[in-house]
Amino acid sequence: MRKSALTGALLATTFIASPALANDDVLKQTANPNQWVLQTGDYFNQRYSKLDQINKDNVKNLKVAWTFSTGVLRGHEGSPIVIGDTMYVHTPFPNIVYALDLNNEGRIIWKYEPKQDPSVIPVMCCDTVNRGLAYADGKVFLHQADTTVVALDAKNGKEIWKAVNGDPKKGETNTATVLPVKDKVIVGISGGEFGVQCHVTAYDMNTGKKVWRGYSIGPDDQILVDAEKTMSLGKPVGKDSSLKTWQGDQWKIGGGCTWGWFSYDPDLNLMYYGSGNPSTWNPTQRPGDNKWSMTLWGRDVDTGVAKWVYQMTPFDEWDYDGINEVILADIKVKGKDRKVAVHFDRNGFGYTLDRGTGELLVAEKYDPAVNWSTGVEMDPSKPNYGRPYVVDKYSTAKNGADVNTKGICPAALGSKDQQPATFSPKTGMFYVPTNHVCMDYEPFKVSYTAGQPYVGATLSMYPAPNSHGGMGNFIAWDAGEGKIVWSKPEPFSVWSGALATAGDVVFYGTLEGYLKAVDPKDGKELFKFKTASGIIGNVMTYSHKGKQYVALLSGIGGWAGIGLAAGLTNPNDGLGAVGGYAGLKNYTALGGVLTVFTLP
Amino acid sequence: MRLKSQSLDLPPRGLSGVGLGLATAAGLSAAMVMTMASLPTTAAELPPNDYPTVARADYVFACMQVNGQTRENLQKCSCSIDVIAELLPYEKYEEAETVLSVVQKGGESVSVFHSPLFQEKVKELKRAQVEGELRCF
Repeated sequence: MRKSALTGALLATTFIASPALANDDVLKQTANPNQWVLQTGDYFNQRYSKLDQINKDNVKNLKVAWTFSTGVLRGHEGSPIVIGDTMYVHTPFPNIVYALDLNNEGRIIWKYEPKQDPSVIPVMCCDTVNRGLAYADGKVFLHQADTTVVALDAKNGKEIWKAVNGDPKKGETNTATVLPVKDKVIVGISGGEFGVQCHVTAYDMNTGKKVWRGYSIGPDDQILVDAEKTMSLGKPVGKDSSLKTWQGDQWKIGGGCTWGWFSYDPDLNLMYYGSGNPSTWNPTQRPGDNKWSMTLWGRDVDTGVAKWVYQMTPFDEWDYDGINEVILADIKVKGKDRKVAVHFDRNGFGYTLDRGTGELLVAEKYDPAVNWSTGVEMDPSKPNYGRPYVVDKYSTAKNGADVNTKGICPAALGSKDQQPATFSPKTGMFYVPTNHVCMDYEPFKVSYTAGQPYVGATLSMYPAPNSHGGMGNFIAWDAGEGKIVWSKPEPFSVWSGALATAGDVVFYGTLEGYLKAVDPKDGKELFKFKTASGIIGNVMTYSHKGKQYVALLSGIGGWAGIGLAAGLTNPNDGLGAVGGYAGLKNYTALGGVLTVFTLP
Repeated sequence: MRLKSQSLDLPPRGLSGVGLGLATAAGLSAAMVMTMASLPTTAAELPPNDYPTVARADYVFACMQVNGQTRENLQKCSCSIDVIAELLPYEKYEEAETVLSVVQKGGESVSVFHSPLFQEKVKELKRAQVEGELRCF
């Protein structure tokens, strides 16, 4: 869909390296553990806090310090951020931003409410969530549902600049946070279910001017790869590495969206993220490897040019969107110290790669239920090096369109979705919220119309059979060995991002609405507290005036209101009858709630 | 889940009122342990009638909104949640409540909650609720 008028300008910016301004404000701010400046905690996406006032012995005493209602219903993903004495809270669509005064019991300092066309709502495939704000250089960055990127003055909420990243009329929307790095703000885009050719784009942090854009799919000058220098599994990718793997013009509506998280290594000057599924979901309509969908990327932040790529699921047949976070850590891999990138993919494999070169070090299942593949070829001398062995029985392409392939694990939402894992440098372990869900998948033929859903498969999902009956696990993972260390079953999938702290506690939320604290050594539950509603937000921590706080957003679906149907012959009468009660409106219309905990 | 040993140190939450409708002293003390354990999720360890006060109050609150805020309805609504609590362990009630709440969010990710397995959990709750109505209203 994208015309190549952009290409010339792109090339120019790509190959004249922009001056690398020494803007290390984010590095400085994230080094202060009292703050929480990025959604991901730090550039490495570790979601680890050095704060240790709340620890494994006293966490059981946690009490609610204060709460804040966002006033918006719908799913609340992401978390607040804290800089100095101010907390910044975002909401799902309409993407309101609040600045709250921590010196004054969370009093609202300012509120920013963008004007967005509500027609963007039906184009968002999976609820109108937003995964939050980021901060750098006195600015708060918001990437709205309608793809408008806004820089706000952190002091007063005034717009400094705005940039429009996509067109919702073509199905281009946004749910992700942004990466402020050096003199740029880097953003992704959603729309894989609408046949968008997705990309990451860098904007100038001070002006909002577009600096570079790298597509996931397309000609080399659009995807910003260098045929000779961009590496994949130890070899240069070669010319037209993406185009060669698509039939005809399908790549133009090929997806590969970028709605996940971004990490960054300042030493290597590389940013990391995963690209999403190729569209449509019907594999028979797009033969080939569909590069570079389902791919982990390491891009130079100044030029956007990829240093390396690794495609996890060539020719996707299950919608195993590759967008999950890429966590950077320095760990021992099979006894050797390595600088790695770790990624828990939707496809059920936990990958460990060398983050400088993209060399594949470990690829193992992090849920034993995973059955679509028997494993990944790890021998570099083999022609299928780095590729998964697909089990025929679970191949929706082999079984073909209009055939229902049954019992595939994991389901399309993956062994894990976007909800980020955490890494504790103290234990060397990763703590991962997971889905334990399988599916039946029936692809069907679809034709493309701009702005219309372009899905092409019917799915039904259920908890993994012959297991504990629940839909989720919370696990500890050894990324150096590729092994599950412990696994704590959960009745529901864990859709909340985890937090590890120096106080030897790991936190996460559940769909029932519990904030849980567990022991990083064995997963033993140390504390739980039921918040206002189900949790799909991420846990964060900060410290104010010497006191540590833990905060998270709850909000998914709505109040079950079971009692409303009691005593009525026709349960639907209840809803009508209660319409007039102001008290009930206050009770149910609270929407998302931020709950802040501390020790008494 | 290995809750009891350490969870006894937790401050009791909303203990008063949990005993409502309990028949035996054994049941009461077990319920107290479970309340202190702050809402465990494992069925095997749970006695019947283990609902936290907040869950009962939430039910009674909604029930009185539709049936009228009178003393008589307080009685009926309380009776009805007690019947549910007698028939359904809290874990099951909570699961059904979670399903009812989460499906209000649309989209691909919650489609699993529409599967028969989860809808059956909601039906189980509804059956208990009907029983509560027959006995209390």
